[in-house]
Amino acid sequence: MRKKIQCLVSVLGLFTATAACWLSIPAVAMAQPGDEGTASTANNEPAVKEKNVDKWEDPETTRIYVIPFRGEFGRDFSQTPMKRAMAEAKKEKPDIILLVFDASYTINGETYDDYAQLQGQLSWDSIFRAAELATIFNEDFRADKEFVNRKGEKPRIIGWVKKAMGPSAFLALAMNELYFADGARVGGVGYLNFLFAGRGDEVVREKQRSLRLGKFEGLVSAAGYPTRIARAMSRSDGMLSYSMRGGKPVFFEDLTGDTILMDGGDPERRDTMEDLVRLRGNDVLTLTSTVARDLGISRATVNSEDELVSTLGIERGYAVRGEKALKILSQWSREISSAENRVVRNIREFQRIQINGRTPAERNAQRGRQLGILNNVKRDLEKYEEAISPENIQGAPKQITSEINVIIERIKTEMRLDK
Amino acid sequence: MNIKKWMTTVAVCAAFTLAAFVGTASVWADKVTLKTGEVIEGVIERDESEFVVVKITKDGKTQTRIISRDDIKKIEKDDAKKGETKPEVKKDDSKKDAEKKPDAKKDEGKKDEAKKDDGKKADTAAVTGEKKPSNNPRDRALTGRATRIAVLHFGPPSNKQGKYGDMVGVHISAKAFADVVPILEKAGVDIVVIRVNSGGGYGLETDRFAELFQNVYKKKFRTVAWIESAISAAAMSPWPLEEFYMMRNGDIGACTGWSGNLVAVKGIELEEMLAKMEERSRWAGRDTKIMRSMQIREPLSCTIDENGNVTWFQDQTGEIQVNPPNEILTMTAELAVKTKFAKGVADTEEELAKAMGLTEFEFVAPEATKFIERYTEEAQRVEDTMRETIRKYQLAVGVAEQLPREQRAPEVGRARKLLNEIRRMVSINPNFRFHFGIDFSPAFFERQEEMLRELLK
Repeated sequence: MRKKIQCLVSVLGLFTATAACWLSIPAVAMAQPGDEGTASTANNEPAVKEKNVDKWEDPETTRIYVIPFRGEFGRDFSQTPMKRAMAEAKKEKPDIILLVFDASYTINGETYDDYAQLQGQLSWDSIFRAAELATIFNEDFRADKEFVNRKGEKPRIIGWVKKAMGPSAFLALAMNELYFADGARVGGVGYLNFLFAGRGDEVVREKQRSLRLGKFEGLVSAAGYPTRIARAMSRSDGMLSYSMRGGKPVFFEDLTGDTILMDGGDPERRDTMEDLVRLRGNDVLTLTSTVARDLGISRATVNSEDELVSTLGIERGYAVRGEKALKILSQWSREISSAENRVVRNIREFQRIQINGRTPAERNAQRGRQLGILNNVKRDLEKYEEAISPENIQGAPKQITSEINVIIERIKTEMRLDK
Repeated sequence: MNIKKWMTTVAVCAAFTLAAFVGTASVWADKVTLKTGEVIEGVIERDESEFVVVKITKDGKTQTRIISRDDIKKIEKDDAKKGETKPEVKKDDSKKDAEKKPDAKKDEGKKDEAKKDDGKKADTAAVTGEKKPSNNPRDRALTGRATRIAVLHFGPPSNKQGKYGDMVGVHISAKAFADVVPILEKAGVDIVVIRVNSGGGYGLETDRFAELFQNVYKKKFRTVAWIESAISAAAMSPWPLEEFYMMRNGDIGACTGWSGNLVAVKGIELEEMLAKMEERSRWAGRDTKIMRSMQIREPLSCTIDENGNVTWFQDQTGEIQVNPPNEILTMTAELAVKTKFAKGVADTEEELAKAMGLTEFEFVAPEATKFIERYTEEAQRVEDTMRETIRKYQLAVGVAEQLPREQRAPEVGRARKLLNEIRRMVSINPNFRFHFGIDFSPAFFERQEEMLRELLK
């Protein structure tokens, strides 16, 4: 039997080696943006301020349900919590669903300063995800015949933007009724024209840029905004300015307009460090509340729910709810962080188990423990696959799950033969 | 003729005459006044958003006339018949919708196209005198029954949140789209909607799809593409179809061929690809310059004359700039409709049917839709588990090799089961033979079987 086990060890060595890539997770404490709820944003105000809740049942009250998007796009707000929050909103039969964008400029777990425009390239891998998430508030919402207010009408979905830098900018601009707060910034998706620089042939790099920009332009266009805005936010190799004529913007694809949106960024006009840190960079466009209002993207600049309600022309009483949605989103953020920590801990625990029992029963008991741990890891990976950060667990959840399945097979083979 | 047979004949004739008389009595109930001043009296059989079908009896002969709504000044219907013309209600709704929607103007191009088509049909009907069964699938909307539409998903819609892959040749297979044809036929489908949402895939699969759409689908059904996102192979596959409709956020293009680390297809291979797509453009009656700008970095612009004719230029001299120099074209819905590349915009199936000029329609053949969806799901399962299954197979073989011969049978059995699973997965799609980095040829499986047999000897 001893010989048989030795043989097996040599055969199975191959599989242990292949699994090493994800088993060798560094033993360092990982900073988790969601440990305290959600990732930090510039705004420290409460995400949802419920108001006039006692009037919620009053038939004359305009019901406003708030869903706050804070933290990192795709992690703190991904499809599962967003769908759950919308399901919660549906139960309340609101007249208005207010999506509050106060997202950090965070990409793949790294949070950047707003002036770090070059990092905008990293946002582009999320454009497809943004298009998918947008369906929750567009197609899915429209198709749900039961998602209505108390009068049986479709609620309005309104986006109130405080900050949407990085991939969250794609999602915000897929909403067709937006209001910006003073100081709001939407951008961090620039320098697409440098994406894949140095790799392969230029024609293929342009293809890759084109299909991403096409997706963004599609979202922006469907929301009713000019597609040239999407281009100006994305590529630094054009020029765009505008002048207001009769209350409407007239665009110029050069620098002759009164306000320069982006200046092409060639050497003599390239943004300087002084410009960047003062948020005056214009190699690519970052939307501010003033510009967004001029361009018709923001319908008005509003700084509070009261102001928003007044701008919307709601004269009768209104009430604001959304604590449950906030709870769903915050809890999701905590769950993701916990799951990532658990995965790392469990993998270390798996590595620590030595198969050194003196009898087959003892060894198989040890293997049984290994199986239990691996199944726990699998469960976490499958449940939170959409939001777990590959950087935090040293690999993509799907690939790790596949590796685990092979290791489980290996352990079961060992158990079968070690009798 | 015996008396009984004679009586029966008389009764049938009388009934027929009476029916004809009753019919004639109401024939003159409806009046359609044309803008030219001509008044047509008859029975309005169909009242559609784009056209009206009137049955006219003149000198004892019955004719069906199809009149474009653009030519109509006024319609007066017999009060007694009010309530019978159900499509009227739908038509009003659609008008209201058009007024409400900011994109109503965008649909004008599409309506122009529909009008042209209807005009052609009207001419044909006027010449022949009455409706005849047509072999042209495009005419089936006029058969008097609701048009039967089936939707096939060329890639899962975005609201599936990326649960299933969208790769042409892997998750989207020409084989599945060929296999579903009998189901569509059995369901009596008139229009097949290919709803596209894919980021591309294998170039070789586009050849299979293009042939399939051109030689099978277009001959059997009115086949239209409905684009959420059609990138690269996903744009090239349905390219032979004449009718493209876009979702509002839709995009189509970026058809540059490449491999490996973003290395472009070049030389004679590139010329072959360009030539192939030129041919497919011609199949669809589409200007070849559009696809060219999607494949290589060439500018594109167009001009639309006062009659609505679009002239394309492979430079920037046209009035509408479509693609700048040095970039690859991906068109948005807005641009696609503006340049009449697409016939309309639709976000829902109902909007699509209206964009296609239909008011009486039903979405049918869910089993066909499901067939394609199941294929995509199964392909995803294969994609997720194939490498794992291969490694489990290697594990079982490796363990069997290390065991004494008399103890190998269970492990060989396990290996054989896994080999059969691999064979089953490969059989789902011809491309799976190569997709996983191993050539799963028949010879490969024979060698493995032989090796497993050897292990037991």
